[in-house]
Amino acid sequence: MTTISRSKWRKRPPYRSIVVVLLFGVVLLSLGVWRGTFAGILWRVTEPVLHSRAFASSVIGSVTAQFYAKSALTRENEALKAALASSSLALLDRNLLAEENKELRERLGKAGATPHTTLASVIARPPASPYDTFIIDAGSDVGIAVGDLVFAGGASVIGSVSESYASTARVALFSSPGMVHTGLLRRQGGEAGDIPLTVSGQGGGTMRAEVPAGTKVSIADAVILTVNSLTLSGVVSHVERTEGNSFEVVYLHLPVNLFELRYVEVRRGEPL
Amino acid sequence: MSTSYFVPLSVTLVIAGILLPFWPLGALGVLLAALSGHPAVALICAAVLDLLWGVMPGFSQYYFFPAVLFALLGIVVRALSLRYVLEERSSHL
Repeated sequence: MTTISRSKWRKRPPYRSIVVVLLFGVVLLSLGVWRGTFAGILWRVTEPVLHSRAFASSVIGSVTAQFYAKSALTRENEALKAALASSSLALLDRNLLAEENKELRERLGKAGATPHTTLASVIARPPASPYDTFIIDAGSDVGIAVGDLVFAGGASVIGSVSESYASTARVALFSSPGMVHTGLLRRQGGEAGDIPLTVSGQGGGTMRAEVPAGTKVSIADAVILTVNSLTLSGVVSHVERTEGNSFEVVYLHLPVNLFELRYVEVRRGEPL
Repeated sequence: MSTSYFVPLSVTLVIAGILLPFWPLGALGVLLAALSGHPAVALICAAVLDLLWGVMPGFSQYYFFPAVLFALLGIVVRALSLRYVLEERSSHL
């Protein structure tokens, strides 16, 4: 049997490996320098395919929906009617508050400061895209720039544009690991005084913040983003109190289900 | 033993990771190519995935090419494993 001795390994000149490593370094450096251009080209190719996938899944979903049991549909219908009734009341309250807010802003001379909004459809959302980011089908062609805030369902802000290509853009959610934003904790039940806090993303639509021990925080309290207008950026889902610790850990989730997001609004000129 | 059939399998997994709503398939394709001894395929696929996926916000953005780093990790693991196996075999002979 023939075996390769260690001395023979050492004698082999490593020129080929050095050339390959250098070449790879040059390619990687070029990709780093022109990352936006290369990524834009790739997304231009991928975007129609992902649009087709979304269309196909909606068609398949509508076909399979016909096979649901009638009784299950009736139960779902009843539950949706109940949810709609409670939502209508909440919406009435919201409309009144919105009117009041508008009136106050007009009195303060801040009316008309609403930034330009672009509606975009989500073409890749978690778990199709990693790091709690998603891709929208609007980019620098329509004026979307890095840092623009992204809203879902009106007053819920969920993240900001992290990269903008020609026809697409990448949105980093506030729940993305490494994403940090400041906000105000607004408590339910008329508790006076908002609490400023720093919220950091944890992935999977969840976030984490710390408040001083003894602070009255309860589940479903809201976190308001500190920008010109009042915008909801998180909802308290759990509070962890440890005996003897000077801080309480507040766990939050995004105000919307990011796995079901179909459309978002990008507000230009209102960066974080 | 030929490992050439791992190349189409890895590439298929990477394409599936892009087109199907489950990104870990792409990472699995990169890992499979790296561990099966096809570093070029692993690195090219990883670079494409990095361009499509971008980077994490915050400090992790300084990794620049996380999927390529993942592929390099796979290549190093394979090289170290082979070295260990060869040393074990030569000591037994």
